Amino acid sequence: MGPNEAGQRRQRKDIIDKVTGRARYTSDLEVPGMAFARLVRSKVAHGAIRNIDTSAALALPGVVCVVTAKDFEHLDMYYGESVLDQPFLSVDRVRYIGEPFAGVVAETQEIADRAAELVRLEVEELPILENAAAAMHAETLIHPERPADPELANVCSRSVFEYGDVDRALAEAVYVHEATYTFPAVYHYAMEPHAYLAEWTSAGLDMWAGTQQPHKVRADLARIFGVPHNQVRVRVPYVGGGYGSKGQAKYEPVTAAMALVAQRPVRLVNSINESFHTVIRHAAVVTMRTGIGADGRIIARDSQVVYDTGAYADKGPRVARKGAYRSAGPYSIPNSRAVGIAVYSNRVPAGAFRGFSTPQVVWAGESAVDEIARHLKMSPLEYRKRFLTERGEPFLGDDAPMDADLPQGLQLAADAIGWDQPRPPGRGRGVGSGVKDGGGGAARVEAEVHLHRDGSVEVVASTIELGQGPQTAYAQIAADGLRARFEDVRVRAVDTWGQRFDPGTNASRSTISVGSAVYDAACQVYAQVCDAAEQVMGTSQDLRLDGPDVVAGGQRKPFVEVLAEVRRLQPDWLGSVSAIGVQDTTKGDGPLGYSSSFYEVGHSAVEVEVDPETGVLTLVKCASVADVGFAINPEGCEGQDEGSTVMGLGHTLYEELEFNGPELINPSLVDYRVPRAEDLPHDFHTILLENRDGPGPFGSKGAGEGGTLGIAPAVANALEDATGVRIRDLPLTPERVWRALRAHEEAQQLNIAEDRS
Amino acid sequence: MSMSPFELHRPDDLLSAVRLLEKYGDDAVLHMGGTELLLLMKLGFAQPGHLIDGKRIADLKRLEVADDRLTIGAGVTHRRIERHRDIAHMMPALVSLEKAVANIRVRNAGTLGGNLCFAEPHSDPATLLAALDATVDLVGPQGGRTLPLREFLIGAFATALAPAEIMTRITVPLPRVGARVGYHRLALKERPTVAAAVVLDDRRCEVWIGALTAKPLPVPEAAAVLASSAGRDVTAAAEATRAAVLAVDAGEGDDYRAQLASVMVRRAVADAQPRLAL
Ligand SMILES: Cc1cc2nc3c(=O)[nH]c(=O)nc-3n(C[C@H](O)[C@H](O)[C@H](O)COP(=O)(O)OP(=O)(O)OC[C@H]3O[C@@H](n4cnc5c(N)ncnc54)[C@H](O)[C@@H]3O)c2cc1C
Repeated sequence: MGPNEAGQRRQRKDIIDKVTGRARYTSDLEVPGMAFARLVRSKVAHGAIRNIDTSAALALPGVVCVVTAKDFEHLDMYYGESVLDQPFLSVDRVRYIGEPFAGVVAETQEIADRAAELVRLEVEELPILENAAAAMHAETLIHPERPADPELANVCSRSVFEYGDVDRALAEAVYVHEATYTFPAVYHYAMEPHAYLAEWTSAGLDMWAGTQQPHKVRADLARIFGVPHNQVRVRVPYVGGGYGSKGQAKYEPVTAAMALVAQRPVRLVNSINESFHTVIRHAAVVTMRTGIGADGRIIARDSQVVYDTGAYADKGPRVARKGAYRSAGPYSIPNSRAVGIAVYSNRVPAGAFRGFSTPQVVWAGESAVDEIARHLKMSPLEYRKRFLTERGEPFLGDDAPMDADLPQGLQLAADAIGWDQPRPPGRGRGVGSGVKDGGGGAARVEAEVHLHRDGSVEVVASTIELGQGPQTAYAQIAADGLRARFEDVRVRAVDTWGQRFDPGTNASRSTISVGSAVYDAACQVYAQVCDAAEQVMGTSQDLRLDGPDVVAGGQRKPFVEVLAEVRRLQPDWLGSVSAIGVQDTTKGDGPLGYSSSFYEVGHSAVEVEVDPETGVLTLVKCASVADVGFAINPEGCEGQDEGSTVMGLGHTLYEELEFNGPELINPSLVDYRVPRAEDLPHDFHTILLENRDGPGPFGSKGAGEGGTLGIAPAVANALEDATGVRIRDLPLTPERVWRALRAHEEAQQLNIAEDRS
Repeated sequence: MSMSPFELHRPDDLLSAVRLLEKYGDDAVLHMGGTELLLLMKLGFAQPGHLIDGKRIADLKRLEVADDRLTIGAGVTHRRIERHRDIAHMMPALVSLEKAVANIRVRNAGTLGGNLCFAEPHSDPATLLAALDATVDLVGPQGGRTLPLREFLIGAFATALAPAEIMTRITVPLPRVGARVGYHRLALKERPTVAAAVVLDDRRCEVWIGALTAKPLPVPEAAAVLASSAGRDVTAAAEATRAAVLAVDAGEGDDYRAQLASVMVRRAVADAQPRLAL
């Protein structure tokens, strides 16, 4: 059956609550007896802890307790995604400015804040490794306990992907392009900073958290505190944006630890400045060699990607692994070697961030391809279209076949900005394509659908509403499976207690995995209703639910009566018809250990104008094509794609975490410049490509990250188109552009002079 | 972080406000729109025990337009100036400047006096008002005095305000009818990165660069070029500006700053509009 409800433009279920201020976030929660916490953070970038003096803070009236690692010597304090290197409070070292080494709990937030200033940290300073470049060749080790890398110092992880014979192909190439591209560290800028509320009760640990991965958090808490999973409850109210910053455990362990010592419920809410010091996106240096064959085809690529993962691993190893893997895309390249290295430094830890490692490598790859096309005197658009991976072709050697028509999508983006029209003077056009193997593979997830006696429907699914719209999309999916009304469906907030497992709300994975389970559950409930209707009403023809009534074969009867009759229930029966849906994607064995479930595709096309006097680059036109397979809520898909394009525009033109040595110098919403509505052109489009070729309900695919991928290279490519200047470092700030223009002009004058002489 | 507790006072007249400021001394601070002050307090950079709110003082909110001058109460908001028809008619540069300040929430609450008294180097109005040679009236425990804005501004976050003194109004002498006034800025971050204000009058020209230095920077060489060429030799004025900025600036990136300043001067001249009669 084709969808009926899915595909409709729907207003988000959460939107009225959010715009009226009624929505409750973790930072709004209060429970009786609650105390307030503040973390005390290191002002030293690297040092061995000699002493932490808490006496002055403890003496402040209203302080409940001050905790340090000494209070938790009986616990395994370390956590992380794959490398457990981060203690929830510094144990023997501090490794970055902003690292929490103590926690203060007090009767009021004001007292906690004041007391936090009274805690003294004494350290013996260690040499500071201010970024990955410094750390790779240093004598000092930030994590001496970690295994050594054969080549470089302070390597957190190294991943290598190789197929074909790269060295031979490069030797045979008629042209080898080599360049290094840099990508800045950036901040997620979630509107709600990290927030947690923990309470220990007779039932165990009750944790409210603004997290994207409650089940992962539950496992970490259970391990750290030595309690079984069934005694850890993680509840997730609305979350004010995540973008990866709230993946895996962040300050859940330390909040639970403070609540344990305080013997009280404790709430911890980061300031924005503190969230800037909690997790960021990896700065990266990408060096790429690309070999071109006689027909112009890319025959080899050799890339090395160094990600600065900061003081702790967080998701760095996985970022580096996936980044390396994706650095060979989205073209069909027969020989590839990609090395991804995550390097420790004395910076804020870097972790997951929308696009997860991919904007960094697409920045390099799509800049390089443009440079190559220009070198070959080919149109950058036509060059790409010729060599993009074709539908059905295995991706990156031997991953799942490409499920999208890449040239078609790219052409749509180019058409939307009038690629073939004459260019106005001073303007340039560029494109960029990004492909990211989608999330949702290698997991078995479940969801529940309950149809209550009054015809209202409850969906229980462990996807976090971060603002990306699952409450709306799942309601649409369930409404379709049940032939019920959209307005009768409600999707519950996530609670690990009793709710089904999901690895996390990330990687554009939810709709295709959990959403499929929701659809499965809804279809099962529908089958039960049809069965009952056939027995009671003698028909299930075109059966649908209209509020409390079942409508089928021209008849209408209250659902509860139908059910009561079949199941011999009392008319005052208060139960529901329920089902558990399953989505199992554990199959397959691609290069990452499983096959990509789908490919998230983003094509960007832009027209820019450059002010040669100031270097200011203005976006005149911007089109983004999101290949979503099928748009369950087109309004939501467009919003997500526009949002991800604008977020990508941030690291393209404005955003950069600036460090003075190891110290972050712009950790505030005033100093950290993000794109604003006024920076966007009127000519700003998202085009949804719907070929129904995805694995999710109705052929849908994941979405919401694609826009971040190709926008930066598209803009840099347009800049070269307009001015002849190539810049390989982001962001493309006016000063950087102006200096490049000047250097270019000087070089040209020199050439003219040389020609004359 | 949370603000430390304070007591709020809301005097109705200027003298009471001055007395309160005097009484609590260093522990008191005048609060107008609070757009700067509250940020500082939230960050813990200011922890006054007493906030003396000046928004009920009618004297601070007067705004008068005469043939030869604007008299703007220190408590007049950016928004009021931006929407003032007569100012738009006589001094369009000031109105378009005000329209670009911050965002509408800040302009709705933030005052002109607050902007000047805070003396953030990246101020839009300070640059244009310095070029126009505005004066400011101050009232304190010792009585009143008037200072040219150029002297009132001392440096970054530094002014000639004495303890317990309040700026009451800003007087902007208007150049003669027909003279042209222009302002142009580039804001790469929240506030202006660099700006130029120009006054083009037969007898008297002014060129001031804002936001690059601790307080607005006069460029008399550029002004002289413009005066002697009837405002026409813009290229020479821009080059004079570049040289002036390079001379005060020793830091890295100074050639870009000098470039921007010179471009702003050219654009301010291009933007300049004649001052009209009331
Ligand atoms: C996000 C943001 C963006 C901004 N962007 C711009 C911009 O683009 N261009 C620009 O020019 N400005 C900008 N500003 C600054 C803005 O103009 C000022 O914040 C505002 O005008 C200050 O006025 P206020 O009444 O809020 O001052 P308050 O915050 O109330 O006071 C600021 C300080 O001045 C003192 N003070 C205020 N009034 C008087 C007085 N009458 N006498 C003596 N002392 C006084 C106070 O005691 C306090 O110390 C921006 C500010 C913000 C927050």
